[in-house]
Amino acid sequence: MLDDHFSNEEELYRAVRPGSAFWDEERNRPTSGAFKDKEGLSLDRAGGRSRFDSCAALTTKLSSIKAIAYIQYQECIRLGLCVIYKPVPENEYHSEIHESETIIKISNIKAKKLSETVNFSIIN
Amino acid sequence: MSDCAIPIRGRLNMRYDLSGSIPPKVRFSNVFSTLEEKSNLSAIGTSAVDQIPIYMEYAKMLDNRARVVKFANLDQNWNGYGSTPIPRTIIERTLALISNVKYQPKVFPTARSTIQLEYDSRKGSYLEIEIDEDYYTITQLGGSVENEYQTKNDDDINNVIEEYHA
Repeated sequence: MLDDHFSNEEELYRAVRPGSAFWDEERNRPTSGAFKDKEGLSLDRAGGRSRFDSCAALTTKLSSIKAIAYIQYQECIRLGLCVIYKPVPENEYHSEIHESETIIKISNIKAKKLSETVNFSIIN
Repeated sequence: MSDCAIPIRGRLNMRYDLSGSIPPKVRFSNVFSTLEEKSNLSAIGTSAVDQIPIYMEYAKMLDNRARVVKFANLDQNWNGYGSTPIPRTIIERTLALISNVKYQPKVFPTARSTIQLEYDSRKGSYLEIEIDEDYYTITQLGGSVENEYQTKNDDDINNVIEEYHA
C-alpha cells in the first residue's frame, strides 16, 4: 500500500491498446477515445518506480500494446482533473482519473485535452 | 453469419458481414462506374477532375466502413481495462452515419464501448461526434470555443459537420 499523496512530478501510466485501434496515424498520437471510460479512467502510478520499470510492468501484464501514455500528476491537476489512488488486490499501483471530486466520468472535452497533453512511448 | 444491408447516400445498398474480419462484398473496381451511373454526376455537368474529391471521399468512406465493421470483433476486455464489446446497434448507427455524411471523419472506438467520429482538418479546431445507442455527444473545441452537448437529432449531426467545413 502506497501513500495516498501524489507528488507533482509523479507520473501516471496507461497502456494504449489493442494495436492501432486508438491510434491516429496521421498525427501519430493516441485519440481521446483511449481516455474515455464508463467509470474512472484507470492508470498505474509510478509509486517510486522508474518510468522504465513502470512501462515494463505494463508490457508484461498486457499484450498488443501500441504505446504507453504517461502524464505527470500536476498536468492532470492543471487540466482540472482529479487523481485518486485506488489500489486493488492485484495491482497496488492502480489509480483513477476522475472529472472532478464529485463527478467520476471524464467529459469529452477533458478526454481530448488529456489525449493532447500526455506523452507516450511507442511500443509496437 | 449475419449480414447487414446499409443504404449508401440513399442510392446503393451494400451488404456487410458483421461477424467476419473484413467486409465488403463490393469490388472497388466497380465503385467508379457505379458512382457515375447512380449519382448523375455527369448529368449536372461536373468534369472528371471536379469529381476526384468526391471519389476520394467515397474511397475514405469505404475504408471507414471496413474499419467500423472490425470494431464488431472487439471482445470483452478488449482494451485491457475492462472494456465491453461495442453493441451492434452502435456499429450499425455508425455505418449508416458515415455513409451519409459529405465529409469523411477519422473513426475510433472508445473505452466506453461507443464509437467516435473526429474532424480535425481545420488547424486549431476540432469536432467530435460520439455515437451512443440512442444519442450523440457533440464536442467542439477551438479558440475560445469549448462546447459539449448531447442530441438525438440526426439533422444536428449533418449541420455541425457542414458548419465545421464551411
